[in-house]
This record gives sequence, structure tokens and C-alpha cells, in this order.
Amino acid sequence: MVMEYAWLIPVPLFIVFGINILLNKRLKNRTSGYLATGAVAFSFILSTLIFISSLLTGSKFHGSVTWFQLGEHVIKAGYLIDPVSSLMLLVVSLVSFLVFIYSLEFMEDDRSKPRFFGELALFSGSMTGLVLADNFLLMFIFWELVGLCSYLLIGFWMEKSEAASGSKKAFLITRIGDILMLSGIMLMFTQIGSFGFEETFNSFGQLSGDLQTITLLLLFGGAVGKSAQLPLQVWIPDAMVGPTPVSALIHAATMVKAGVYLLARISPLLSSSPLVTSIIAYFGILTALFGAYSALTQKDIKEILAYSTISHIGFMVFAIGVMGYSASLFHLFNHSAFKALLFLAAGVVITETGKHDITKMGNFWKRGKLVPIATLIGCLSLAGIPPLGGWFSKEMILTATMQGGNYILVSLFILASFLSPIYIFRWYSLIFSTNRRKKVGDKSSGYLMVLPIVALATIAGLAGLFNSSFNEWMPWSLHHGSHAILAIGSTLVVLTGFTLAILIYHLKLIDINRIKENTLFEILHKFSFNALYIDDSYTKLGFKAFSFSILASKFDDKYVDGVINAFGAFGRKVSSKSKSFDDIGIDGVVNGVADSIKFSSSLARKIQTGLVRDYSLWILIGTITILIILKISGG
Amino acid sequence: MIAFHFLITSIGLVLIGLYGVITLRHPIKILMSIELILNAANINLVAFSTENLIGQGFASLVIAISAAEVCVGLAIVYNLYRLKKDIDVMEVNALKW
Amino acid sequence: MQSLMLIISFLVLISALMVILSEDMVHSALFLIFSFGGVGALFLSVGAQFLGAIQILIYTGAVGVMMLLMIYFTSKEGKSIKREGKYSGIVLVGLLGFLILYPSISITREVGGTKGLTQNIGRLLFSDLLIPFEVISIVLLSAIIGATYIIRREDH
Repeated sequence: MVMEYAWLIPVPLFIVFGINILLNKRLKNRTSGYLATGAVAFSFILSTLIFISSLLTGSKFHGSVTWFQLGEHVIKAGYLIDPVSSLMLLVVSLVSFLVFIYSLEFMEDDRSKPRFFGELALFSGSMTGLVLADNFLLMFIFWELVGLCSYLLIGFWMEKSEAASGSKKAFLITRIGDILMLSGIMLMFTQIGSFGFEETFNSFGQLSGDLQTITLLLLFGGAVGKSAQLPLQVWIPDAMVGPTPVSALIHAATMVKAGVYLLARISPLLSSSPLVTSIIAYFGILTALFGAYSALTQKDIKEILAYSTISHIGFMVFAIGVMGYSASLFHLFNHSAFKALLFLAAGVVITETGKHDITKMGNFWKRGKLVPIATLIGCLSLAGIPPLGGWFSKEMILTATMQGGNYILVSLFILASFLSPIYIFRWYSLIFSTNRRKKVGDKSSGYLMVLPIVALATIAGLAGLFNSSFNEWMPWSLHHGSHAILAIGSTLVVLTGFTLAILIYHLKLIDINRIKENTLFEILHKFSFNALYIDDSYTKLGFKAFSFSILASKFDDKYVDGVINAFGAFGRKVSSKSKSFDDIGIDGVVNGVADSIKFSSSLARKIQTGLVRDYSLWILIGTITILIILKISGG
Repeated sequence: MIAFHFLITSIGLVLIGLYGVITLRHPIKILMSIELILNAANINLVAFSTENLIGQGFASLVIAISAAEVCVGLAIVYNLYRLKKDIDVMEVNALKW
Repeated sequence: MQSLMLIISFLVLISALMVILSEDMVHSALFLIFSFGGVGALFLSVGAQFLGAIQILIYTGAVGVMMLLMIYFTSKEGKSIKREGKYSGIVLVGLLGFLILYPSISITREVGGTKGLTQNIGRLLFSDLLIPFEVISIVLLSAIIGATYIIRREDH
């Protein structure tokens, strides 16, 4: 029984991480890459075996050992293999394997290859650990570890300041979601007394309705942070400064799917709470629309794909919200294949041209046909053109939506899937189509970079064949075929978008510049290019509250000393003849009003000072608040 | 022996240490304040390990941790001194996003 | 015994206060060492002999000396940095103290009782607390490596 050995999957990756980090420069650059690839190949083979045996037998496996004891609670740690986790394992280890091979060549000239492969191996190990975990606490630990790897790898070229600030931004923003998730887990633990998935599912019904809603919303908050849903999506575009294989592996194929995986894991809990699922559905579909809309006008080759990722994860979350769990996971599988493929292709384009701006690219079709054709398959799948995988998963999501019977959601979904083909074929045409004015570089990439792309294209192309057996294998049933007219209609909508994109960007029959002259379109264009200004408004509003300790010292100087001085002055003034009451009295009041306004506006200035001491002050204030609450509520 | 002076000492040390952490500006002095807080925790752990020795065992672990913390903390202070020649924590705000 | 310990606690608190208040860094380090020693005496008075010894060895010895050494390394003459937000700090800390003490705390409970001899602590550390003990040894090791890494010179 191969499933018993599932815990071995992350182990070699962690060992390779240790070797690469400890030996670092002593390791030959090549060796580090081969070691990591070997480890991930082992994980991939084992995951495939587990996937096959799960697919054939449909059985589950749950192994656990006692982790530690907390009072009378025994906390266990273990691994859980069921269809959901074995699918996720396959996705993670497959994409990891291909990306590792690709990186062997992509990072060829980089001096810190051992660090790169070490951190990448740590990521793959933690991600498989996250998938295997059988309880919330263990999952949260790996959840944080993948966040750490994302931080380290976005900032891999840390000598660039955008990389450093991008990684910090990603880390801090996902942290908001992580804190929500941790509070959700702890809230559940206080009520149920266990972290395990099975125990939680069994006794979750005993909780009161409000508590259930709050817990589920907190867990969804964690998914929002990790999976870059509105309103925490701002970190993904900035994360694109990392190396391209990292973007493909972490920010497209695996880590950002962790939120979807978490939601699929807690699906037994979600189905009991219609309020939460409808909130999830609206968040998901709005994110999908937002991502697709913002992707329409971006110029950076990777940022378009980043917004597209946001949009497609929005689709998956939306599918969870309308109870189409198997549709969501099938889309997850497809998306991992085609988005990783597109990112790797973007990596090839970037290494060959050395540029990031797609408006300055073109003529790529001439460079060997393999990569362009593979990329075309990925784009078609992303756009949802039949008969590729993307079409099947979109149809499954649509079916699930129809079963909910909410026509607002249905129309929003169709609108969002209309935008997908437009932005992706804008991307494809600008890079690959013929353009005499633009030259291509003369570097070319070797087979190690091309092979993973071709492999992913094969998977993306053939995935659609397995949709019905996939649906049967998943623990949730989804009935097909009852909405044939709508299915055809939505396909026609997608094809319209596709034709439009071809007409505009490939054949250039419609002049894009003339459309842009229209004022309405100009405004729309501006909003799309700046991603609805969400990021800018966060920077302007959010992180400029106030610095307490500076304020406190000012308060001391100004007010406490001021009061003392004022008493002295008062005595002096009284003893002398009160020469002008106006000067002290009226002006005093006027100045006082002005000062207090100044004071209260300085309150709202800065919370984020960067001084550790201020943060410790906030901890103290928080402790005092908690104590006051406890005392008042009679603790 | 009655717990009075143990409790008073530990509460006093915690409050003094906290006051130091939030008002002082010299990093070495802040480290000293942190040591005071750790000592306060140790006093309680030791004083109330009446039934068994777990509290005392834990206190010895706390001592080891705080030794490690001082070691790393002082190394950071020294590095700060080499880089900036001015060890005022108000100047060290690179943690800002 | 009880009154002696009361005096010692009082001295510990006074010298802890002086650590914060004194302008001279060397003075505050010496007060810190004194305060550590007082805490060690408190440990001894409840029978925690091993911990009392460790407290003297590690705190007053190692930590204190390291603090002094660092002060000598990094000191610049004639520059003292003022405290900030003195009064607001007192208000906050006072509030916290009030909240901790507020209804009443049990001051009549007995303390001490078990003899913390080296033998007993050793048995404990290698049986019930074995895993924390091992983890802390790794933490110490990495702290040492980390400190040497941070403090090394770049030029070789």
C-alpha cells in the first residue's frame, strides 16, 4: 500500500534544503540543482503512485502520531490521503518537477544557485506538507512556511530594491490573512478541543450558528490573503519581480492555490452555512472580474499573467461559493497546467529578448515553432475554447452556478469569462505575431527550458478528456448536461471574445488607437491600467496612522510641561497687573484650539514607524485593553 | 514562606522592565530591561514550583534562552554601532515598509 | 528570614529602577548585576539551590560582564540619550500594574518547599523536559553561530 509512505514525499526536499543552505558556496553550482531536481523527482514519482492508487481504488488513508500534549488535549499530527489531497499532491509535485528542470537552465549563470534551489526545495517540501496535513495546526505551520519561501524567493535578487520591497509587501499583506486564519483555527480549538479535520467536521454542528459563521469567515480570510482575492490582491503584481520559475511555481501554480485547497478541505463545514458560501461566491466573482479587467491593459509580460491568475483563482473561489467543489478543483488542475506553462514561456521570451514590455515585442513566432504552439495551447485553454481543459472546467463551474439558480452570479460569470480570451490573446499576439519593425534577440534557449513547456502543453491539451472520470472520483457529485442552451451560449460568448481579440490584436482590422480616443474608453483604460487604484489608495491611506511614542514625548513636552509652565505664568500674571486679558485669554483660547487640531491630526499620522519600540508599545496597549475587557466582563 | 515579597518583586520587575522598553532609547539599556522582565518571570516560576520541580526546570531553560538572546542582541548592537556610529533606536527604522 | 528577604526584594526593585533611571551606562550595568544577584538570593531562599547558583553564574557573571564589555566597546563620551514619553509611560505601566493587582492577589499562599538540588533538576531535565532541553541546546548553538556571523568583519 503506497499511501502509507506518503509522509516520505516532503522529506528529501527538506534534506536538500538543509544541504544547499548549509554547504551553500561550497557546493558546486550544478550539483545543487541536480540534487534538488533528484529530490523533487522522487516526490513526483511517489505522488504519482499515490494519485494512481487513489484514482483506481478511491480509498482514503489517514496516519497519525501523537505530537504533543496540552493539558488534557492530545494533539496529533499526521497525514491524510483522499482524492482532494492526492490531486493536489500530483499538481504540486508535477509542476515543481517541471519548474526545477526549467530552472536548471534558467538560473544557469546565477551565482547563488544553491540558495535558489534550497529555497525552492523548501517551498516544494512545505507545500506538499501543507497538502498532506491532517489537522489545522500542522496545515497552518506549513502555510506559514510557504509564505516564508514566497518572501525569500520574491526577494531572491535582493540587490534590486523592487525585489526587496515586493517581497516585504507580499509577506506583510498575506500576514493579514494568516492572522485571520489563525484566529479562526484557535476559535475552533477553544470550542471543539481538537485541530484534526475529522474531529472538527464531526462536532462542528454543535457550535452555535453565529460562531459557525464567524469561524468560517475567519478561515475564508486566510484563503483571501493567500489566494490574493479582493481586497488583499495587491501583492501579486509586485511579486512578479522574482525569478520567473518562482512566479510559475509559487505565484501561479501552487501556493496561491492553497486558499482554494483550504476551502475545499473545509467543504463539509461550508455546506451548512449558506450565508458564508454566498459571501465567498461574491468575493470570488468580483475578484475574477477585477483581475480580468485589470489584465486587459497592462504592459508587463508577467503582470498580465499575474492579474490573470488573480482572475482565475477568483473563478475557483467562486466555484467553491456555489458548491461546485469538483468544478473548482478541476479548474485548479487546469489552471496549474496552463498558467505554469504561460509563465515558463514568458521566461523564455524574457531571457531571449531581455525585455518585459510586451508592446515592444513581436515576431516571436519565427523562433522555432515548439514554444509558440505550446503557448497557443495554453492560451486557448485559459480562454476556455473547446475542447481544451479550461473549457470543461468553466462549463462545470457554470453548471454548478445554474444549480444555485442565482442569475446575477451567472451573468457576472459569463462577463468575466468573456474578458479572459481578450486579454490573453492580446498578450499572445503582441509577443508572437509578425511585426516587421521589431527584432528578436539572438539568444536562444535550450531543451531544458523547452521540454517542461511542451510537457505542460500536453497536459493542458489533454486534461479535458478526463473531466467525467474526475467528476466521479471526487467526493462531491455534480450533475451534468441540464443546461445545454446556456452552455452553448457561454461558449459562444467566449468565442466572440476570442474573435474580437484576433481582429484587434492579430489581424489589426480594428484600430485600437481609435477606440482609445473615446473618452469613456480612456477612463476605462486608465482604471484598468492602474488596477482600479486599489494599491495606490492603500499606500496613501492605510499605513500612515500615527507614531505613539513620538507623540507621547511631544505630549510630555507640550502639554504636561505646558500645564506646569502655564501655572507659573498664571501666578506671575495674577501678581502683576493683568495688562491685557485679551493676549492671554482670547489668544490662548484661539491658539489652544489650533493646537488641539494640530494634535488630533498628528494622531492620525503614522502607525508604521519602523521602530521596534513602538511596536512593543502597541503590544503593551493591547495587553492593557485585553485586561480591561477581562476585568469588566468579570474574568 | 509567604508569597508576598515574591509577587511584589516580580510585578515590580515586570513594570520597571516594560517602562524601560517603551521609554529608553539606548539599545543596550533596552536589552537590560528585557532581562529584568525575564527575571520577573523566573521568580514566579521558581517560587510557585511547590508540588514538583517542573517550574524550576523551566526557569533554567528560560535562563538559557535569555543568555542566547543577550548574545545575539549585543552582536546586533555592536554591528549597529559599526554601521551607524550612533546607537539610538530612534534612528533604526529600517523595518518600515 | 522573612524580613531579610523583604529587604532583599526591596533592594532588587530599587536597583532595577536605578538601571532605568541612571544616566551613566556603566552604573546601570552595575545596578543590573546587583539586581540579578538579589534575585539569585530570592531563589536560594525557597530552596532552589541549583537555580540560585546558575543565576549568579550566568546572569551576574556572563550576561553582566558581556553588557559591560559592550558598553565599553560602543560608548562615546559625553553623550547621553534622554528617555522619551516619561509621563505617558508611567501612566501606561501604572495602569497595567493596577490591572494586574486590582481585585486582590493571593499573598498568603505558601511558596517554595521542594529542594531544587542539582541532582533533582538534572533528572528532570533529562526525563520530562528532555525535548525542550534539546531544542534549547540547538537554539543556543544557532545563537552563537548567528552572533559570530553578525559580528564578523566583512573584509576577510
